[in-house]
Amino acid sequence: MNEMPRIAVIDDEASIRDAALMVLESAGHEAIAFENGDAFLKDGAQQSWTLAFLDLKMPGSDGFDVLASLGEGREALPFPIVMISAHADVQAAVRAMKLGAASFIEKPFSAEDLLGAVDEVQGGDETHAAPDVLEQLTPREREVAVHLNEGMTNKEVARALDCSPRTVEIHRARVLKKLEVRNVAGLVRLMSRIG
Amino acid sequence: MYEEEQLKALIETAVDGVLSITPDGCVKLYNRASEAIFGYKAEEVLGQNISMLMPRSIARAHDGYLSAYLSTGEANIIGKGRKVEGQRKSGEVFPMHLSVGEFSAGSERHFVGIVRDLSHEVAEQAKTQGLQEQLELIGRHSAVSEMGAALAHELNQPLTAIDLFLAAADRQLSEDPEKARDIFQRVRDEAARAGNIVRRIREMVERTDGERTHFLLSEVIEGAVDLCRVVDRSGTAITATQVPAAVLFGQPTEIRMILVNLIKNALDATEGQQTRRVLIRSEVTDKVRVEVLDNGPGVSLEIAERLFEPFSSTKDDGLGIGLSICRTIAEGHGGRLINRPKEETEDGLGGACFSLTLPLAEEAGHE
Repeated sequence: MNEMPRIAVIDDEASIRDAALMVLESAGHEAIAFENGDAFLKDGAQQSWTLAFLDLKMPGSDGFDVLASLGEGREALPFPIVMISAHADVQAAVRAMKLGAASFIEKPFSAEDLLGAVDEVQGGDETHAAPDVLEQLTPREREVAVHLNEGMTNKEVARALDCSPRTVEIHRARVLKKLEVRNVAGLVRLMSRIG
Repeated sequence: MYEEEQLKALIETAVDGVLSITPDGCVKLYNRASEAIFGYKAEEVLGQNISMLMPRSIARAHDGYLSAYLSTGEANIIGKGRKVEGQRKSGEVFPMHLSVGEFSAGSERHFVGIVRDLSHEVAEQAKTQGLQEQLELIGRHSAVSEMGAALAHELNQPLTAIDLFLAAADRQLSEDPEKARDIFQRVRDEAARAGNIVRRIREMVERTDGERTHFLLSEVIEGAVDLCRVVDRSGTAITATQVPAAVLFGQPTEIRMILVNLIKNALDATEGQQTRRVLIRSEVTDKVRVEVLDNGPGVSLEIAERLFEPFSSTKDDGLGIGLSICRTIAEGHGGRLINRPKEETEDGLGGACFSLTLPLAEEAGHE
């Protein structure tokens, strides 16, 4: 991990590619952009990367296609992959994580989200997570955690548990805090590790 | 006498009001239906001036109409029948249809009138029109909501880029202010792009209050194509041929909505195909024809039959109002919207072909 991180950005949006590259480079990373999944599979997939940001929705091979081409499951993937998803598409992002993606960020994302994801992946696994980590949650919080792990939005969780989205929001904040994860991506990672 | 009894029975049986007046406007005949319409009993009206059955604004002028006709022979109403306003005993002013005839009694010219109360009809019409407008709004909103998720996603692109560019510019500011300034320009471009997307959404939902105006064909086609390009992920599927110069008359927002619907449908139809092609071509003869073609699977015969019926969507998330409203709007503009069958479309792309024809704005008759 002493070399300069090498990061691939695969997104069909030119301005997102340019802007992400600027941010990553100004943070001292080497970053290379690919304009869609097919371009990455052709020219980028064989190279070695610290991690790749991969847009879920693209014309031609989309994020899932690229993921499937690279290998099945987290261990089979040659490098960590962080999905970029639309806000409404958390479910797809969570599904991608179950197929092996290391994390995801939602559009619109900030420079902090982008760099945070790099740190997260470089920092390795959150080793402090014990199997009984869920024990500290109340029954209600555990239900919320399970639903969030399915990629449900606050609104959907609220409907499933028959309470207000605002209540879910509060539970969600508590769940993330107690489990010491920053976001749903971290939660999904944690849940998959403890089974 | 047989004839007289028969006539009397006819007059009293009529559902329409039957009245007659003398040359100076004095009521001589006022049947039972008139009583129901105006609310006055016969004895209240017979011998009085007919103007008591009219709203004040018309009543004042009525004596003038009568004497003008009697002296010049020029009439606005006789033999034609027209929609006018009446006033009931309650003071309520209501729309009615009035036809007027005349007959001679000795040397004098008298007039007969037949009155039909239109208030019920007009109310029904207003209701239908209200429903129609509501339906159109629903249709427009469903087109928007179908595109909504895609548009929201598109809005996320410039928003994300803005944040990233600003963060990058922030880091450059002290080291390389010139470069930071370049980045600021890109931020402004992205802000403009976000504004553009919002403007297009507003154009889609805005109501025009039925205002009709002259507009250019290119205006509506380009507007629709731009909006659909925003949601077309491949960015390359839509092509439009050069739009010939043509002036139309009507509601540009509505026409644009038809085209957005057609193009959106074509995009949906080709979703997931290796090559996606959507073509908008237009030609002007004595009318305007705009065709939206795609290389999707086309419209099956079975579906084609019900294509323009409301609530017959084949899409999971479609209300199925789109095409039926589009057709209503086209017809409201004196045009037509049809689905051209595959076998008739040899010059097509192999998929569906929708053809919208609209009349040109008449050169005479305005300005």
